[in-house]
Amino acid sequence: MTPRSATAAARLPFHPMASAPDITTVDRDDDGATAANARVSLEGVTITYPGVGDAVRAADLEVESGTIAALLGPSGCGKTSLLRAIAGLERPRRGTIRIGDMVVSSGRRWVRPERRSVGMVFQDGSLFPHLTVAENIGFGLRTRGAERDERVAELLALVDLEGVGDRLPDTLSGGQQQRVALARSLAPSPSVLLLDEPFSALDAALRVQVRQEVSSILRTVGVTTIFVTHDQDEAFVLGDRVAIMRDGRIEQVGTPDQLYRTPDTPWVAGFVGEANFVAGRLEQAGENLAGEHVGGPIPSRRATTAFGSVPINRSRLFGDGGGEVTVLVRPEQVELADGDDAEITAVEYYGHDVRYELRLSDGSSLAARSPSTALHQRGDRVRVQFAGTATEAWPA
Amino acid sequence: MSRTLPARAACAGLLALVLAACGSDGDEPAATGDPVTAATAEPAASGATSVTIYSGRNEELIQPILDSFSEATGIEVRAKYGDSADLALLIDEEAAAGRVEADVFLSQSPGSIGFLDDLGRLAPLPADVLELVPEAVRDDDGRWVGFSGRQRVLVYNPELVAADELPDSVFGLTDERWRGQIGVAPSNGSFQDFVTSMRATEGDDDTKRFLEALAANDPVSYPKNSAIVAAVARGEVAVGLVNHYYNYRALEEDPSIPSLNHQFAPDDPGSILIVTGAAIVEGTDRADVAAQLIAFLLGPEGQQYFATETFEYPLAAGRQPAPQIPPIDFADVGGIDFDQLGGGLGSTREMIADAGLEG
Amino acid sequence: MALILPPLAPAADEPVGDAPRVDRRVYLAERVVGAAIGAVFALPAGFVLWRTFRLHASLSDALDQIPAPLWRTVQLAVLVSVSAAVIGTALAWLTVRTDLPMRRVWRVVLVLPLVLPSFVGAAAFITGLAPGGIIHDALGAVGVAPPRRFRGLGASWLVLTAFTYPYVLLPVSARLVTVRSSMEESARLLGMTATQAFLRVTVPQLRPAILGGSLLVFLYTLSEFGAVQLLGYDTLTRVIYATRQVDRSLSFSAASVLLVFAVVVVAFERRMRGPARPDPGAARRSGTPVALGWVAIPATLACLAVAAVGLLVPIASLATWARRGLADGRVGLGDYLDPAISTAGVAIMAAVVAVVVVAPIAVTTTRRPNVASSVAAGAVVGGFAIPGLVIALALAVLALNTPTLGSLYQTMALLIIAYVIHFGSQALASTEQAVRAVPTKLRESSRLLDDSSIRRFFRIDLPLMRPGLLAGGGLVMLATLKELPATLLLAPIGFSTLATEIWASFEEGFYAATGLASLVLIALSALLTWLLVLRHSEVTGR
Repeated sequence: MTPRSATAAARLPFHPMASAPDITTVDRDDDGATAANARVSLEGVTITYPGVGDAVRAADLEVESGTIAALLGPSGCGKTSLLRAIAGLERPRRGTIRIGDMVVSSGRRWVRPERRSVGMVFQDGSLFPHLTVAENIGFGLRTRGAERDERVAELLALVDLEGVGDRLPDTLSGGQQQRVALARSLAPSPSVLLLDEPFSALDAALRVQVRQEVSSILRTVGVTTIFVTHDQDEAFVLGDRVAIMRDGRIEQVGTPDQLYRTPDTPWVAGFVGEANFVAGRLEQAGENLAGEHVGGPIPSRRATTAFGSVPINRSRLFGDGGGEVTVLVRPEQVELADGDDAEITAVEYYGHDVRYELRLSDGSSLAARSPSTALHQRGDRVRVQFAGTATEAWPA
Repeated sequence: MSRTLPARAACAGLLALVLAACGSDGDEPAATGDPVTAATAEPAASGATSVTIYSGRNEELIQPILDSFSEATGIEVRAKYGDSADLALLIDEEAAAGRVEADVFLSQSPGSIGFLDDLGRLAPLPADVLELVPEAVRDDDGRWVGFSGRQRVLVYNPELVAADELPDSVFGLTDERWRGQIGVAPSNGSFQDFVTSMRATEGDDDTKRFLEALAANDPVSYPKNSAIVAAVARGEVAVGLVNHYYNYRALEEDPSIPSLNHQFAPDDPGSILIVTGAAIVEGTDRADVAAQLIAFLLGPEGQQYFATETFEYPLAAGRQPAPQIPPIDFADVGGIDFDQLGGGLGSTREMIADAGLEG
Repeated sequence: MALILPPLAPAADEPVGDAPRVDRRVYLAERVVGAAIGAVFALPAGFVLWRTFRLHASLSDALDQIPAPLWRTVQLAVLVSVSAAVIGTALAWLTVRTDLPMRRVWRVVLVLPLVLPSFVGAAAFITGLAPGGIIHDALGAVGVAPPRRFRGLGASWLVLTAFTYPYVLLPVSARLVTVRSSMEESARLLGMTATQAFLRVTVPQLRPAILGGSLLVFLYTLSEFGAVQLLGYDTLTRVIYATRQVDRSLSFSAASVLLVFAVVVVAFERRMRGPARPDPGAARRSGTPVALGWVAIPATLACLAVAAVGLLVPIASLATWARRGLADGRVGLGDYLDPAISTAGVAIMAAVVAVVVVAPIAVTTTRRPNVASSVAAGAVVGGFAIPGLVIALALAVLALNTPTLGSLYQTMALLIIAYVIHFGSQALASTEQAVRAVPTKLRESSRLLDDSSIRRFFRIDLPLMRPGLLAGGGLVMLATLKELPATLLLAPIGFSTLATEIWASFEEGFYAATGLASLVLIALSALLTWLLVLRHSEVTGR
């Protein structure tokens, strides 16, 4: 995990709050000004809605100070409930939540939302329609007068909205409204920033642009951030680490690359990017294998599939014997060459690459992606082979 | 709520013949047809089979006797109930528009009859109807007739005050003894009638002095007589100026309540008799059935009803009130001249307000 | 599909094709219809002014006798509407936004005080406070000396507040459902307590609903007669009543003053309310209810107190009266079957007509406000401030003197018109809310899918508007159920309602019958409200 710089910290002096939680990390700028960041940790958090059931079950999560974490999952997986629990808007039935060193929620302890030093941006922005943009931004500030005006101006500049301070939120575009909401939640210098599907209300073109703007602002400020999304691109682009949630459980936490390359379960593999699941048979392990992997990298084994032998990670899961497995093959790991293994049934041209759908001789289908340099046509017959580093497999 | 049964008209004649035994005193045929014998089922000269009354008198207190009239004569009675003052306003508006809907007006408050009389909205009653009651309780010009009477009395709570402490005159209530202990209903018609009557007998100056002295004695104002009786019964005030029958009615609802009536001296302005009036609306083409109905109210059945069911004084000559009610002589107690009230009520109300008794 | 091809629905300022021709016709029709409806609602006001003028009302008399009652009226109306606003808003928040125990039950119970005629409520209080009355005994049991006299400003304030706060509770609850809870949550995360967040963020969103509800309470108090008369508080309405026969010019002068005052108040409220902001529609996620913690106990006690004053005490008093009569067989439930049915019939009819009549005004004021619609809306609202007696008299005079309307005199039709003029204002606010519930974008997209505007109305608009229309109709229905003076004057001969039965027995002190008839009225109101309104409304549904 790369710690992010806090170059803009000078513009965001630490703003003391009545009961701000203990700060574990204080990034020190050249000027000596500070930005307050806190680690967030969740242990066994279970959230139950009466009459509905568990929304979140025994969730564990650590978010290091100053990093951005994404909660990714399909709708209804409990990710928003978990975020709201961190904010103090839901009260977990079990488990402990810490912000910094302070327990904000546990069986015995409950810190009210207004005392957690948490900022939150909602899906709909939830700007106060009766207040101007400047009044919205200044809403959480305890200061008055010039000091307050200065802070508001600072934040307007940060979100690149100088000059709209006197307008009402209704008169702004959706993207501008979200930037105001971000500025408003950053104004009191929270220890943690929470974003709940912040871009989902925006249309597709705007979403990418606002995402980039928000990303750059967050990197500038360097505040610990947790955000919720159902959009894998969003999670991967913004998140230092991503927690995948499903049916109220956290399935896997990791960097985007870890999740993509070494998913723990087929479900995660399928949820994160496109996946081909290919039937295969594990080959016998080499004789010296047991001795070789002590302390070293996990050795790979191989599985025989319809299009040849494929290197497999984590073969220790299966012992040294053989067996039927399901092998994960990403479309870009499928290489097309001249031959007669499969027929191309569909072609999707994306410019930088091309996605093909293939039908293998045994009747199963397969997706492949390859650079647009060598273009195939629908109906072409090709040879299919595995290309790339070791992949994952699970017992069939 | 229709009170007509088609079959009823057909057999009404027969029924009425049976009832004819109860007959009446006046037998002289009048120009408009004898109303009293008409009550014994001769067809009305106008051919009308129904009569419309606007009644300021409460439905609970008059509907049974109207039903009896229908049964006796086969004439349908269509009754509209409401506040006397509101109905009087409506009759005036109808007449002004040339569309007379009501044939008979029954007023709970004399003021409303005076109001319509002043505006010329009342027709003269036949002589034989007028003569059913003593002169004291009918109009000199023959445009209205009283059919039941209510005496002003002092209701008191015997647990709070002994009977021999009570004054013989309403003027006695200005005594310091009664400070804060008197219930009054200054906005109620019957209180205003009482004041108007006092003005007629005692003069405006004395009346004004009395009202001011009463107001200075810190009385408690109530919206209506029944509220005063209830307040006396629960000891909120010791005495109250009311009409006599409210106490009998309250006792009927709950015999255990501690409240009794006290009569002032017969010639005292505090013990006047207020009559409930009936009149025929000017311009109706059913004056004969209207007169017939009023005669029925003054007949034996009607008068018996008011005596025993509503605890009022029957006004037709020779009728007696219910046993528990002390009989009075109409000639002794002061009455109210409705004509006097028509113009006089406006200033009465002002006088009451000026004395500080309003509200 | 060809559907993708046509240009998106035109914005208001860039009409496409032959739209302008149609629209101009619609605009004109809206103005004409609005003006016509407004004129009907303004009839009683016109009558009052015309009569005052024709009676040569004496200015000195008026100056002499009106200012004091007017001042008393203003005091009472301000006090009652402010306290109703506070109580109604607080209860709406508690029952919609918090985890108050049994909040679904409270949502229904706390609306019910609206069904009591206020004179019955006042009478129930007076007897309840008397020795032997239930409040008297209850206060005695906890060692509090009951007040010896329950009269005047304080008593009127308490009684009217207890029976009118639902006028604020209902619209505020409905609005609260649509205010995103994420706004309050944002405020809390920015350092506000739950109460601060509610006051600083949510209340401003609720302002139109609070103001609209308070206005109804204010106008109700202006035109109220029965309760203030019983409680001995001399308001302007009492002047109108007390002098209507003995000094007609003073009576009409007082009515004119009341009218002018009401117009000023209505205009003031319209200005305070500010421009209508588009309703965002119901929030998707209602959010977690605010956790009350230990505050739940005082909050529940507060709800209990309000329900006790507005519902339990009156009902207990009425039940005491009724029991005595039922025990000795003087009164029976069967006596009230016919009046109950006819009462329900006219009330539902009045509700339907009122909603249909104010709907065109609501559509115009919400979507394309113009002067005609604003004035018409003002006339509709003002109808609530005119005492029922005056409205009845005005319609009677109109029908009697207009040959074409003569046949309406003393018919149900004229009575329904009176109810609609008197209570149309209660349907207006909810209907405006209903119109706002249909998003412009949705109407435009439905236009592409179905070109029949009538079919579109029934398929798209009506289902979305239903909750608001039901709420508005429900309020008119409840008000009609207990209406008295207009019913007495305008009803066809022989037609009686529960309210007239209650009045008839109460007037002469037959409390057993009063109690029983009132209980029947309360039960009928609750039943109809449940069957026709609450069952279909999202406020209680969730």
